[in-house]
Amino acid sequence: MTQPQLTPITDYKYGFSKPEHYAFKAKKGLSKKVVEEISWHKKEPAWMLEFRLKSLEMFYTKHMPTWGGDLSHIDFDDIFYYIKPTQKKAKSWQDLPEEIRDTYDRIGIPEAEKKYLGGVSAQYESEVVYKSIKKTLGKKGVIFLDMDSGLREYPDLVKQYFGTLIPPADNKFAALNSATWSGGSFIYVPKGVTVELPLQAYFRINAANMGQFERTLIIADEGSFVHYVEGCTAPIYTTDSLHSAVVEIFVKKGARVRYTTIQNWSTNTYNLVTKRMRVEEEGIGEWIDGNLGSKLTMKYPSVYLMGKGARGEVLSIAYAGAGQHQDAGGKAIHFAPYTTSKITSKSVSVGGGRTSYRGLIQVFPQAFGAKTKVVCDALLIDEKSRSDTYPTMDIRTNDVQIEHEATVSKIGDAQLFYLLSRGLKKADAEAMIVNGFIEPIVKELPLEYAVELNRLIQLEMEGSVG
Amino acid sequence: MLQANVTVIYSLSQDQHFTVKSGEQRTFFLCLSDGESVDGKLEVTIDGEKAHVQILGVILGYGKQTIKLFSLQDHQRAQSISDLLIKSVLFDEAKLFYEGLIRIEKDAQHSNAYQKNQNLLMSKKSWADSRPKLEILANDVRCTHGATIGKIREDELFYLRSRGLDVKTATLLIIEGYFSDVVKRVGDQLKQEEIMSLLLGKAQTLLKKETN
Repeated sequence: MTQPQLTPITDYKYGFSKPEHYAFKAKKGLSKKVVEEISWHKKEPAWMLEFRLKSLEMFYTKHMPTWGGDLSHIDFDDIFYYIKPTQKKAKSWQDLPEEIRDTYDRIGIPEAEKKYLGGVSAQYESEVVYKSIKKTLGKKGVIFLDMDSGLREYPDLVKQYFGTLIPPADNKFAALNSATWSGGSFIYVPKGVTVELPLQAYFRINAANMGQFERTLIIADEGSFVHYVEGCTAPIYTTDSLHSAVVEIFVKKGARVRYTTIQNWSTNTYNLVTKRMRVEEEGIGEWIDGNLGSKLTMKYPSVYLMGKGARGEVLSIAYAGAGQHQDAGGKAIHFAPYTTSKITSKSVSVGGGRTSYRGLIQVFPQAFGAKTKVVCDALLIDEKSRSDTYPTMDIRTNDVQIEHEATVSKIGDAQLFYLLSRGLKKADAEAMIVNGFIEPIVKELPLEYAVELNRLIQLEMEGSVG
Repeated sequence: MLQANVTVIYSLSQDQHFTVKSGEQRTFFLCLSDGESVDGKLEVTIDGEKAHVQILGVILGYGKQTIKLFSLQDHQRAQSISDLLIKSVLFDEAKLFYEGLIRIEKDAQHSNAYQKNQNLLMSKKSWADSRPKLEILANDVRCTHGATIGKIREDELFYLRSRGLDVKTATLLIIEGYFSDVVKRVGDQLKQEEIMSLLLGKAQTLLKKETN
């Protein structure tokens, strides 16, 4: 039993670090040898090693994006690209720093999740829950594994889809992920199967789910439905300075996939993620994307509407506090007739934070009858904060209906005055207004997440307003 | 209705910059209808308080024309208003690339800035690429922007045809209404008539050509 070493690494308000237990840790920095070692340790098939090495070449040749946030401080040589986790570690809930326990309590995270997040994985009660869920899923033919196991157990299925929607050449960070990926989820839902319970990454306890370079692949076969939930509202402390995931989702004819993320990385993290859904005829692809943490997030979940009548939706919330830049948004690309898309973005900047909406709507000539609507609302809490809107609408045919609207405003004086006159404290009143502002998106979240998110914003607002 | 101080611009250049001072009321009116491919800017900096700026634009594109337009509403000082409305009608293989930026600097509290871009695509091969951008560094402001891209609505056309108008006449009437929304904001009767007749004459010729 190791005593936790609770040395504060940054002044992150809720920060804590777990003592490191690892069986193998790759050398710091990126090289061909490191990539080969990762693949060797995972006992991967030869094609995957080849894929990784090819991706590494791409990574070296690709340029850093010159738009978006400030990426100049990322040091690719100062990062561990692979750490092999050890066996379960035992640690007691009480050993966690009080502020962390307090935060978790105040957010109201369920006990089981709380312990898991705190690193007390051995006593994780929901193992039982997980097993019964796994049994039900198994009966329906649903595959729900971590990506490494997925590759081991279903190599052909993985090979058919992996890296086809987001090829390594897509962008520098997709290349980096493709070379060094570890963890993430692999989901296959057979034809006509509806998965009633949302699948949550933290049920999948057989592997670390918060990888630095996680890779998720979801295939929803014809007429199926699945809701996948990733991340959590609780603050996640990590010593990793870079999180770069790739998520590829295939929505077949008439299927529907909803993917919900609530990201709350600690404020020293760069969160640079590529997420894409390919939606076939009459299929529906939905992203619900909440970004609260990190130093810089650059993430634009996209829907590629490939089949007639396909539909895509992106709901995005961004909350930027002091020192944070949330560069988030969504993309909808219409390749087929009568496809529809909707992007709704709500952002809040406070205490010197900066939020940027960045989005793309593209309609190709064959996509006649396409309809799309983009709505961006931004709230600026104080004079130190900043909000940007950078939408692009690239429309190459005329039988379409394209709408975009955005507003930027502050908290209304009348609203605030009303609440103050009712005896609310300023911070509470502001938190209430902010919660009301993001309500249209929060109501789409699973209930427990919605409650947690509202409480978290309350907490953040308390901190920001003296 | 704003009067006076209307600057009409019939062509674009890379270096088209205007500065508006305190208390000034200015209207910049851009009218592009000569079928030439152009790439240019229309930048307005408001370096004063309580100024009121209108940026209006009508674009009639046709042939293989490519129009690239960048507009800037730069609010440097407090309490000013800027209002942009640019509408295009694109025939044939005309392509419009529009990028508009509203920038509100830190010291420009109590600014009001609006930006609206509408594009009517008349043919399958016409394109519109619209990028309305906002960069807001002050909080006590009101900024909105909107953009739409599409073709003439079937129900509007149907209504007019049910009144006995043929397709071309109905289409022209819709285009007239669409453009006059912008043009009437110039506030100068003579200029308004001059611009409208120029646009409608062109549109009529283009519509005639379409069926032949």
